[in-house]
Amino acid sequence: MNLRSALAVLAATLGLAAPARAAEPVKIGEINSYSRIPAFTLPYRNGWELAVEQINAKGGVLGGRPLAIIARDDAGTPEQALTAANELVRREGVVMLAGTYLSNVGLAVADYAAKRKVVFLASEPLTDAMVWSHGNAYTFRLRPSTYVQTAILAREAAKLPAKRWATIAPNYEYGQSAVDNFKKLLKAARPDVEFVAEQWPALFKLDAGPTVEALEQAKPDAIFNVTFSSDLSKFVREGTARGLFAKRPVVSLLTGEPDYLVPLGAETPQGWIVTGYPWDAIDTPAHTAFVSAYRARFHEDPRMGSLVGYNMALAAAAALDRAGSTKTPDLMKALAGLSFDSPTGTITFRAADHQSTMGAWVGKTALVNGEGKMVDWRYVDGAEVLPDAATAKKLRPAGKQ
Amino acid sequence: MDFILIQALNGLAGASSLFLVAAGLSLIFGVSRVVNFAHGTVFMVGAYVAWTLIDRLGVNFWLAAPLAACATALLGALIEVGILRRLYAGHELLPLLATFGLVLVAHDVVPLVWGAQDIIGPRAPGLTGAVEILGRRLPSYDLFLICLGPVVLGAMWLVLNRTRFGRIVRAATEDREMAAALGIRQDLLFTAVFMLGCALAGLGGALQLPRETLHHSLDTQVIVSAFVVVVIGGMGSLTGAFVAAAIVAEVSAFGIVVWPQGTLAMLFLIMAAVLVVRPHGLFGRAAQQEPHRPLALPSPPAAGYPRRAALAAAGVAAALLAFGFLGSPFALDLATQALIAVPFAMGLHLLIGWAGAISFGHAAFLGLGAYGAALAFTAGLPLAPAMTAGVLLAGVAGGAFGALVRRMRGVYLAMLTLAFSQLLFAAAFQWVGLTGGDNGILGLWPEPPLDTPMGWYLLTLALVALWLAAVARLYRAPFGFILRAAQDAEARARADALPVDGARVLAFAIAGAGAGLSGALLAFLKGSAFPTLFDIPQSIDGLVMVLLGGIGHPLGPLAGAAAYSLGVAVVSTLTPHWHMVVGGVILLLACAAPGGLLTPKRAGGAR
Amino acid sequence: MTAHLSVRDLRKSYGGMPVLSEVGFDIPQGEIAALIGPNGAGKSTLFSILGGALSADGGSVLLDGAAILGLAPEAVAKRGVGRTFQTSAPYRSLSVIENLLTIAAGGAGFWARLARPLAAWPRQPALAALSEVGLAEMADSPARALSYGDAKRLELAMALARGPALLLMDEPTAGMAPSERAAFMDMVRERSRARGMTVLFTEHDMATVFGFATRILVLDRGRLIADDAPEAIRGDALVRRAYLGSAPVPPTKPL
Repeated sequence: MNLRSALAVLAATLGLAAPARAAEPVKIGEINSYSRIPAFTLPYRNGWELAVEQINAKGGVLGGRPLAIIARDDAGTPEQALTAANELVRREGVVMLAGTYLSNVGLAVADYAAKRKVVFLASEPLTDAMVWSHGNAYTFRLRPSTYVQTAILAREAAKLPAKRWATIAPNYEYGQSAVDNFKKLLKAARPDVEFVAEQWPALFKLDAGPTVEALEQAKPDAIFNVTFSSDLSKFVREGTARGLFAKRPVVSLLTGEPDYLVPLGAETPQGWIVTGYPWDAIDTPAHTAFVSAYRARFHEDPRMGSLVGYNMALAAAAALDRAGSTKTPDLMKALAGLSFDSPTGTITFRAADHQSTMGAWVGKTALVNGEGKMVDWRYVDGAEVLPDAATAKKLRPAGKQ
Repeated sequence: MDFILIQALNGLAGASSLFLVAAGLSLIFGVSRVVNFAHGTVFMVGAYVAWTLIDRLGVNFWLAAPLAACATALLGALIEVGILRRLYAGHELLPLLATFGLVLVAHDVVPLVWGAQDIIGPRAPGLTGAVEILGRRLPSYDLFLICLGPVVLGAMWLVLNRTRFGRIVRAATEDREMAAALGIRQDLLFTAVFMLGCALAGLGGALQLPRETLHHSLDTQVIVSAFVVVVIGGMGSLTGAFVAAAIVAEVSAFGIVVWPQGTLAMLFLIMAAVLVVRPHGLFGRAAQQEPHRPLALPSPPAAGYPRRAALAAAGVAAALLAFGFLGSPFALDLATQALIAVPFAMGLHLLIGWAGAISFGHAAFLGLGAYGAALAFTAGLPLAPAMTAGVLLAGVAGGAFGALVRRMRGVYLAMLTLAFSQLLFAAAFQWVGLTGGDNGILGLWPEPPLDTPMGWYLLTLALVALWLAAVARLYRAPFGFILRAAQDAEARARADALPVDGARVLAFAIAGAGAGLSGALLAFLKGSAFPTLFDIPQSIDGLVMVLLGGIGHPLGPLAGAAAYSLGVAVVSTLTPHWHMVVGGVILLLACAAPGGLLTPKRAGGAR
Repeated sequence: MTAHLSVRDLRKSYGGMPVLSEVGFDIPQGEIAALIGPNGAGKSTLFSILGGALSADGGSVLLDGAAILGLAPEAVAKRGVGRTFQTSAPYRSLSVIENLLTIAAGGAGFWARLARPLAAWPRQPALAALSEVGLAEMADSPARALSYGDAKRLELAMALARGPALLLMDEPTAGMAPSERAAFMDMVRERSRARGMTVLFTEHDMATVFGFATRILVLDRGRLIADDAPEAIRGDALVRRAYLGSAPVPPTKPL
């Protein structure tokens, strides 16, 4: 950032500069927790940067205009995200908003999008409320939701003989709705199971020893885990040391994503049933091309965030091309039912509830050459587990569809 | 039974590292009265340095830990000599501001140096296994930690009681003036104690490696717990820190069994309970409270403000009004946010500057204002009554809280305000049925014409101007003078039958209502209210605004609110590393202009 | 004459160490009484208890027949007790006249305290009070700029501002030049005579004590060992022993 552009920003901020003329590139505003959760969002950023470069190398969007993504940090708070959204829409003149990681930030931006009549492509937040109870006409969500991920795991859990289950989840909406979904779906499939213990550590504040001991005390047959990131590492280490996982199946949300699996390294627990992203084992040509391009460009391995970021940019470009314009109503129409080819197959934004059919990989964790890997995995398409269109529609608030 | 024993041991293992961090914090505060907000950052750096030594340089864990402690001691020396030493003559909260700047800088620098990915800590050689106790397995490293706590406490006791350095430290903790009179080189003492405190924190960080995952926000997690431990134990008391760490760790170890959802609130419930029963902590003594340094806010000119001032104020008001019609939507949005910050910062300044009541939890009232207005609005009330409800709720809560704490002072009061705000945060987070939990309350959009940037800006401008006029009136009325009199000489004020307590309670009510106004305005600007409004960063923002603006000037918070709010908004659009820039600017300002942006003109005479 | 201030059986101890033991005395209205005794005798503790800043373990204190023991300092002040402190403490960040205006306004109604600017409060009574102590010229100077003696005089004006029936002064002339002392105590005596104000003061300077007190109370190790007219005190053996037998020991603080 040189002095001149800094001054320009300052001037524009003070409202002195004339509104910028619609520049040549098509601008998309991207908001994410870059400073708060860099572990996930930096690979995500790499992902969309790669996609944007590839799209522009092929001639851009809308018949020759370059695609530009303007990113802003939300510091993990809805308040700052909304300031950024305002800035992107009102000063940068972006045609579409995208991004967000935390669910509450995503919901705040979705609400803003509906109010200001801008399309919002929520890439990462997982909350079901995004497209269902708080769903709105302007918001579309890419990543498989909490519901999708837990539904996949609940189906696996139902196959286990275990009857007494314990749960551990971070104490916020994501953890709460994951446990709720899991309980409901598992109970429906297996009325004989009971839930004997639950632990709700505050996010990133897991007091691992006592928590593991409290779970052990309940003598469950199996455990459903929703903790991730630093909480997950601590949980794994303490649980392994104290024998919590010995002869006990663990069903664990997102643990197979390299973002969380790689840090575990040699301490990766074996045989956990997880959702994740076995990036080095998916050998379709499209995916291999993505991985090699990513590695060539950034000299590191892709993570879950990389794929989501890449797909976000692809989806945005596909929507623009299908709409044939940058106007909000056209983009809304284009996104409803839009299908595009991702490195891992075709993804469709369902017209009924604006949820994409991007799926998740389910498999088992294993230790291969001292590194955590997913084995015995298979891809479950989101369409397979999502409720049908009519049911999904009923989950959304009336009048906002 | 065996479960209870094991769980008790688990608690003790957790207590040890908490104690190491808290001990250093307590020691530093006891001697130099510095509230070192960066202590958690030092802990984190200690952990990262140890990891680098072990993982990158192949140093043995047991050697790496003390080396990391030495490294953080050096870091401590750098901080103390380079920054803090310049601030001792100023307000007691200045070191807090400066160390907060350090935290911001570290927030960006740590991922740049050590990467953004989580790092699972290396294990301690020789202690990787577990021991079987009553049929349950306890990691052997936990046993080591359980023993370490008392050993460090014992070692510290020996240092403090059996060495000349220790005697000096204790003398300085109990009576600073006397220590100075005895010819002790205060500058050397402060540096040495700061280094020792940082070494303990670094050691704590390194020794936590086998139980911890390294990431760049480890510091904020640690610092709050450490503060709570120090306050429960009594500031300056090592034994207190030890006992408090054990209590906190045990209560949370057993608490999660009884009340798993209570993890958010537990820590602060313990602290509030202890402070209500023992206002100076378990081992603290009343005499140890810091001698109060009155701020000496200037009187308004007896003959009224000069015409120039009135003209200038009118000019600014006219310019702000004109801006409402000329500014671009985004500029208006930023300006609205800056205006909204004003009553919030003014309220906090009323408490700190005028009433001498330090608050670390002013966000409580911001959140109450926002949630009060949001809940009333979603219940169907029109905008104006809904906002009034928010302001009233925050004002009444402020008054009630003020009545409870009217006789408390200093850091203990500050920590009670923190507990209050954190308990409200937990309630907003947990009481999903009422508040929507962390997904917040959405859809708070006002009707036209207020739903445009111009509309909301003009409303905000009008309400904030009214608020300012009302507060300015209060400051010139006896109310303001009674508060200042009580700060100058509280015993004198009481002997003069001045209603000191009443004025303080009222100050809390007005400060609460001001923050409530900000909260209500913010909720409708953003169209939403979230528990983060109650959270610590919001309170810290308020403190930064007040200190940055100049605590000794009635208009300081105005300048601080505008500068900080606009500064963050502008810098964060320029660079993703805005924390570093903002933190660096705060550090620079704290050192270059310790009085803040606005400092009162003094007619002469020493402070 | 009836007793104006009546103290009975006052007791106070800190952690088992008695500081005041069964202290009792009566001071008739209009009298100027000095409370003397060696350091650590309990004078400051007694003053703090009378002023309401400290609670007693037992006993009673009556002012004009009404109990004031256990009341907060504000309430004691409202019953007609004014006081000055050992280390003079006017409100340093205020101007000299604002010190007095604030006290005058402090007793006003709730809304007046909130809404009416202090600058609009009547200056005349405050100026009159300042000229009584010779500070009228300094009315608009900042209090922090006052000399030591002037600060003491301002504090006297503040203590007198509410027209107290009883004035408590803790070491009023400490640190003053001898000539200043006499002038200061003259002001107090005049005021006492004019208004029938009772005065109780502690003092180390014996010239001041014997020059102005009409009564002398002697406190030694928490006990009242003498209570008499100045002439009688001069010859009292107990008092001599208390003062001469124990050399004044400065307070020590353990390291």
